[in-house]
Amino acid sequence: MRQASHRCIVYGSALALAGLIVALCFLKPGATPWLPPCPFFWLTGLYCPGCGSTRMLYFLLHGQPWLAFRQNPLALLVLPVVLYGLGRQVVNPESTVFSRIPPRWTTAFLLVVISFAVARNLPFAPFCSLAPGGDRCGQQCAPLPHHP
Amino acid sequence: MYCIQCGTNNNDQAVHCMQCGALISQPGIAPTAPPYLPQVQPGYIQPPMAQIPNYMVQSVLVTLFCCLPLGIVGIFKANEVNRKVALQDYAGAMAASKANKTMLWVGFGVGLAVSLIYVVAAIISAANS
Repeated sequence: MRQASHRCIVYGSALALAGLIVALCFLKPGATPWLPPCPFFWLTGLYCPGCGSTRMLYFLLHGQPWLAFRQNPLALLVLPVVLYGLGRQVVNPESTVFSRIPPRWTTAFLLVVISFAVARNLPFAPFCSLAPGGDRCGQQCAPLPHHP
Repeated sequence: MYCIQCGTNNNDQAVHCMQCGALISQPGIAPTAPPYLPQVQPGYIQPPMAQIPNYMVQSVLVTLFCCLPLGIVGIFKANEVNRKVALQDYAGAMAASKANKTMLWVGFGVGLAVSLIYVVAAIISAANS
């Protein structure tokens, strides 16, 4: 039996994600005060690897997968794996998903996330298409009014 | 006959060790004396090997939906858990797992706090305009 804090994290993160998904059925990011912008972008003006993931979820829920992909390609690709892992943890909080996958894969994933964070801040093609929205190549890659 | 894995004294006809299940009947590898003192005390439950949560899922969620630095640190810590599990350093993996858990609480807390501040500020400014 694990500690209560372990189950809190498992159920808490699942509830938080479920809550966000329900909220995005009714709220549009950028058009409501209830969905705050990314604190990191707000403070630094730089895109973090998660910037655009709320809009990504929004467009995915509203049947526009290509628009979703352009908000945050990494988040869209990682989402099924996250949902699978979270599902397994919720069904059995004792289960340790992803603890036994070879460390070279998790190291590779870490490097992908860091490279993605760097690349999407580069202000020239093709990297600027990784920024949230992704449609600003050709124009200047200036930050748009931003929501995570 | 003593088990070469855990040192338990088994029945001479035993094929597998009654304590740890290791194969002990193969000729040539079954020693007549324990190679080392048994480390598993009776009644002591072995820690479940590789059952150490790495919180990779939660770290990714913090990375995507809360704030960058803590989420990246979380993925790094989850990676450390996997590295140490692979090296069978279960104490080290446990420590990394605990550190990641603490880090995640901070990450969720910071994300929630900044969100609340933003929402309250947005509602106040909307009310004043």
